[in-house]
Amino acid sequence: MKAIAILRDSLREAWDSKTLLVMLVLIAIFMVGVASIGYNAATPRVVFDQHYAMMSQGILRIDKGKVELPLIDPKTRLPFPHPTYEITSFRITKEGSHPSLGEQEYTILIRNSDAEKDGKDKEKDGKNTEKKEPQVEMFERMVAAWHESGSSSEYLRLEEKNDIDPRKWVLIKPVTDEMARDYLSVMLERETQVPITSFERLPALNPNERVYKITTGPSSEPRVWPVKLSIGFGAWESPGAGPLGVMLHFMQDYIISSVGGLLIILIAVIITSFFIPNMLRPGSVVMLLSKPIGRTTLLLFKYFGGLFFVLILSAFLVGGVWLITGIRAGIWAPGIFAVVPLMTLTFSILYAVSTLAAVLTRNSIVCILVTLAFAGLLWLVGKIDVIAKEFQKAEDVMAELRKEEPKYDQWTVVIGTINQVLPRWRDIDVLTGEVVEKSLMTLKQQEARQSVKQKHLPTWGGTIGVTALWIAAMLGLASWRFSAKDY
Amino acid sequence: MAVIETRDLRKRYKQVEALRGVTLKVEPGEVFGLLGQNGAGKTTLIKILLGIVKFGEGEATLFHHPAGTADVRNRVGYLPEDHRFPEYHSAYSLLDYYGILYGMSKDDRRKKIPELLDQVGLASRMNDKIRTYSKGMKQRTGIAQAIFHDPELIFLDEPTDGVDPVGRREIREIIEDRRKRGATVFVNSHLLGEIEMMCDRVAIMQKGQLIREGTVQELTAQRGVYVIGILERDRFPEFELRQEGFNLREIGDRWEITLTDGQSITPVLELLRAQNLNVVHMIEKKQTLEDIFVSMVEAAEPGVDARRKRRAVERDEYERGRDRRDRR
Repeated sequence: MKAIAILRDSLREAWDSKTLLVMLVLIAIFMVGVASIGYNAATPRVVFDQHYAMMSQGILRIDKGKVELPLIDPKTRLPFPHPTYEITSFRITKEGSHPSLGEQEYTILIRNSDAEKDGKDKEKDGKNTEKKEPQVEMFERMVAAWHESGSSSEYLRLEEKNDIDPRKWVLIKPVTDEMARDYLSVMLERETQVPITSFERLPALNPNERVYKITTGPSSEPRVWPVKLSIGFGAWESPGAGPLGVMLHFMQDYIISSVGGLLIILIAVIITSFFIPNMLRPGSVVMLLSKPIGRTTLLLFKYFGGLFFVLILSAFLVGGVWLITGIRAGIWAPGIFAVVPLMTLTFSILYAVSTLAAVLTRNSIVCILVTLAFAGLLWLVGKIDVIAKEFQKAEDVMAELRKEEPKYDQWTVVIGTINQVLPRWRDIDVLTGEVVEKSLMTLKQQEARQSVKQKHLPTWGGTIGVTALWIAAMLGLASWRFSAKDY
Repeated sequence: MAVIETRDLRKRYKQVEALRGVTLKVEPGEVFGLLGQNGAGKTTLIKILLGIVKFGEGEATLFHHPAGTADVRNRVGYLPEDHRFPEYHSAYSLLDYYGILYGMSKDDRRKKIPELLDQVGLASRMNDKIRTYSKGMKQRTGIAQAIFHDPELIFLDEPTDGVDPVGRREIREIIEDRRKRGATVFVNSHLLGEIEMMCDRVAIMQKGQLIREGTVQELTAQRGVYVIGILERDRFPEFELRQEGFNLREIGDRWEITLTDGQSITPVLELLRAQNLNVVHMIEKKQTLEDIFVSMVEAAEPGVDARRKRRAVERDEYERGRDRRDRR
């Protein structure tokens, strides 16, 4: 009862200063913006064109897409030759009640990305000693890499261990049409959940090209069908389309959790930095300390009062966005509610720092500065860790191709260790994204995203454990100081 | 059984010794006043008893339990000096909040808050924010929160500070009312007149030590000091009286006679009568708590009252000059 009274007192303080009200109004305005976003299903032609445009980017996909890497020449920073895809004919064979539920037939032309350029360059310098690569080779090598898994090379091997140049790969086994179908089918289903119902290779006009006639059936999961976003209640519509789940994930994880959450947390840091110093002002603190309540209880519940402030704001934001996107997009994914406790957990790290600074200095400005500096440190370490993970991921791919254990640079290991022992702000953000993603995306979409993420996701136990230890240490120190100090 | 008991209580703040062996007892139902200059250690003593400040050596108990525990604080009310209430509260919500901290039931709080705020004269403003209150109203709120939960012991640090004369009387009445209900009241104040009116027993603290303690009657007891004036043309029998063993001091055109143990003023009067001297002024000098306080402080720390004395001499000289002018 006493503890609830202290929590209520903190809320009263926030409410009286109008900060809580202003924050709620700002969130409500933000939610009007969210409500103005519409999700309009794209036509099948737009969806397939976009899908093959995406496939035409120089991305290497190994082991069924579990590992992905841009095919960039590290010397020139230009893409290596890679296959491109073009729909040459398209027709809807059966209309559905929703664009995702129809059936389509189209032909796809596959050729090499820079065949002409390669040829011209080699003729120009007159030093063309290499045998010109057949353009289909690139597609076949992509398909071979896709099927490559395990520790032993089954379909291809690298000529030189550290050279990723696909032109130097050696195909061990021929690539069959079935393997090509499997590759294209999985990639299409990952994005659209549309199955390939028939797959036929047609004769190509150019020997370096491949042509397939593909028939697709209705989507098994219409909610992942790509949509075009409209903003301002239809005032503007996006030219491209993206899967609804991915769109919502972008909005819920990036805009709401990362950007909105960060703003709420930073504003809350400033607002709540006044709570404990106000309580510790000379005339106020003696009044409270004369009451029959322990100092540790008093401080901890004042701390929880600050957390409660953020809990209310995040619950209002998340609840509102969930309701609005449910109505507008028809998807009632509960994963977004994980943002509420996880955002509060993130704030709890910073507020523990603020509480310690408040007990030591009783100065709100010092609290704000110290807390923001600590937040900046965590952000910086997190950012450097992201870069380190990218390097590690590249090494993972190379190791996968070399069939060796990855060897990481020392600095990536050091920064990873620093990140491990500090409170896991960024990891909480990553895990929040995971929960939201699982709620919004199909398994195949998740698998597709898995390849672009870091190899080892942070664990819940480690993330919450290390963070909780930091919070406990800071609050313990603050409580000890508060209990020992004369007022 | 003493409500407050301290034994050789000591407290040091770095280089400053705030309490230097304070031994004190306050009995149930007493209104006890603690006097002392600023920085004498009065507030430190109260804070130690409430556990707000930790003491170094000695013993301190309230109700025979170690001072400063949460259980003990539940039986105590406290009005600090220079208190500051959270201004986002009204008097009502503040008492409600503090009532919860004291473990009072919701019904009890609802019943008592309006009654008490009416008693301290805040009923009409009880739902207004404290930030809109005058200093006196804040002080009344402070009194209310100190007695709200019917504590057995009430610490009041400068309770009438910033309160107008009518308010002071009301506060005295509240203290008297609490005493009648059986509460013990411990008052710190600079207003010696207030202490004199309110307290049964008084202690004087100087530089962290209790230098005098007793009932108000004991402290202000007559010491046998008389001031006598005769006509200006007459000669005061100074020589004869000194020969009789009387202690004399000339104050302008008057004489102050301080009787020692066993002496009476009667022989002085008889001598004046025998010499046909016309007595125009004679009073038995009264001693106030302020006199006691100042003299005790001066005795404990010579020179501390020098300025006051200089001003008193200047005032005496001015008044004597005025008297002479008036007579002419």
